[in-house]
Amino acid sequence: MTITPKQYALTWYELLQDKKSDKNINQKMLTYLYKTGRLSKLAEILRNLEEIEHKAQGIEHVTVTSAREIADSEAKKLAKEILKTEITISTKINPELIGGIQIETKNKRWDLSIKNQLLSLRKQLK
Amino acid sequence: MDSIIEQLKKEISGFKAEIAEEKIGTVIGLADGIATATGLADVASMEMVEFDDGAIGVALNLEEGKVGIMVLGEYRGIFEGMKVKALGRILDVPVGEEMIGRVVDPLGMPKDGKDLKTKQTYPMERVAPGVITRKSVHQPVQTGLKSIDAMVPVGRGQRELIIGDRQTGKTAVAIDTILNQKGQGMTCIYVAIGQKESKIAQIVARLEKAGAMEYTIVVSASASESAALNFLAPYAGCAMGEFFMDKGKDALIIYDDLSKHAVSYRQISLLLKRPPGREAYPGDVFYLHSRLLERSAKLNEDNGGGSLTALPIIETQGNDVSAYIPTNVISITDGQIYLESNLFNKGFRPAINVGLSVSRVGGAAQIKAMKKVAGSLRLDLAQFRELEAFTQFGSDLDEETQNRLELGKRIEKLLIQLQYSPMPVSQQVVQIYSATNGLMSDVIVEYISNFAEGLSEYIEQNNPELLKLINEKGEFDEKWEDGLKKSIDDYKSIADKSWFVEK
Repeated sequence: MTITPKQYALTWYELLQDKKSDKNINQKMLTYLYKTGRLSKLAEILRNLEEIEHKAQGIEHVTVTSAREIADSEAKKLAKEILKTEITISTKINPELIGGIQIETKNKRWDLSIKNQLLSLRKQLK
Repeated sequence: MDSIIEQLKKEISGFKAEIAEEKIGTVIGLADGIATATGLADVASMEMVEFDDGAIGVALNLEEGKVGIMVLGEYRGIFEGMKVKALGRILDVPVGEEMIGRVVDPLGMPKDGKDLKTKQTYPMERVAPGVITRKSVHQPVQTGLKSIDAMVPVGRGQRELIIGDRQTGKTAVAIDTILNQKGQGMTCIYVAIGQKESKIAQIVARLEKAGAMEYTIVVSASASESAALNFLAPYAGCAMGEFFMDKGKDALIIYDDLSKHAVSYRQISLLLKRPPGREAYPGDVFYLHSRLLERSAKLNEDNGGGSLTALPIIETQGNDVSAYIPTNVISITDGQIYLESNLFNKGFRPAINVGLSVSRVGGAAQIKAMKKVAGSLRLDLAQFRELEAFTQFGSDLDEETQNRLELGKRIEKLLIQLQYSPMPVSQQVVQIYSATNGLMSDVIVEYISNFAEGLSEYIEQNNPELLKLINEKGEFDEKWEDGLKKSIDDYKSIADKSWFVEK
């Protein structure tokens, strides 16, 4: 039977949650994956692990990209306004946006950047 | 100048930036034009997506946790981690009268760089017309080729496969058919799939020279373009044809060729990690072609009475018609025109093998006059071929056998036709009538084509009513027959004496 990355991630997550389990569980997990030749799936397993964790905590992870630096608290306030759920946040700076911000979750995006507006203006003038 | 600025101002002031929620995903892999992405939770199959660098793709594989995307065109600007946005639109293509005379790519964008404005779009994938909306094939498509119109007739709404090895004149048959549609109320669509750019350019130039671009659309996906565009080209062309069919008009579509289409689809399928089957083609390669060809139809009067005739082309390897793709397409279509390299090299062009070529529904579409004169043609030729093989041992022959052989030789010679010289059906009827009824038996075999050509010209000048009668009514009666016999006799009296057997 082949074990899917999702199943690996679930096992890993449950082990992490279990208070009784070994403290070196991460190292052990990686060693196990290496020994079974599954290390190539690591990226996908980690992606799944992250997803499982966010789901369990009922938290959505949001990336806020802005053209200039903005304070995390301000970014969080803005994102919360739109998403209306609990969120964790990471910020990025991308001068290509010219101005404004982009708010991204895994499946959705609200694009409030000048770049996006210019692009849609180009489409309309075509 | 001022007015331009004013207009620009107006357009810009009319622009309103909207904050909309976009459905996005993240690219996690890219290989040979196939991107995999996570996210894109609610994306539909065949939905268009846009990468952040502006590249367009189509979601093909919807798996748990990831989506397989076929990138249309250039994919070098895409990298891992790039966001991809669902456009909420099933893949479609612009259609309309405006496209006539243009060369477009499979997404309907003009290749000549000039503007093309259309009012309508059609989805690329569409369910074929149902039983209730159809009518049986009953009007002819005149290909202008004697051997096809007489023995493997094609009807409007039919799917007739053109099959043969490389360099046997498959495309030539298709192009001649397009050339002959002038003034017949037919819109033609030529879909080039995986062809050389030079060949496409040559074809377009030829069509332009003959004035055939006035009723033709060329959809071109050349060998240098991505497999995705090659895969989509026939569906795009078909959608453009369906527009005319829905309008109650007649359209003819040529897929040149479906072997390369299957190869492109195989590439995409393998990259999407779908399991390979026979000859490494995916399991749905039959459905790939059946759903395409099934969209060709003749609609009944309640639905406008339009039609879409398809002439798919398949290239065989070493005359092997029992390979996977050829057998598939043979079974889907309503008959095939089989071209052979042997015949081609012997100088019989178009190199149609009459014995193996069939038309399952076209007979009902032939005009009455043609049906009558060509009725015995196939049989005469078949008997001739058999006798010819037999008499190679050289023995004394009775008179009847000899007559059959002589007749066969003349018919064979008569069916030879130069490329780019399609012939009106009335002229075909005249020539075939005179051959099958022995009126050419006194002409030396080598001079048959000269005689036939001269006869056609003579009748056109001296007895045009005869041709008009066939063209308009399509009937065949005694009065007509007598008139024709007299014209042939008259022509013989003035024709070059060296063409005839000495008595």
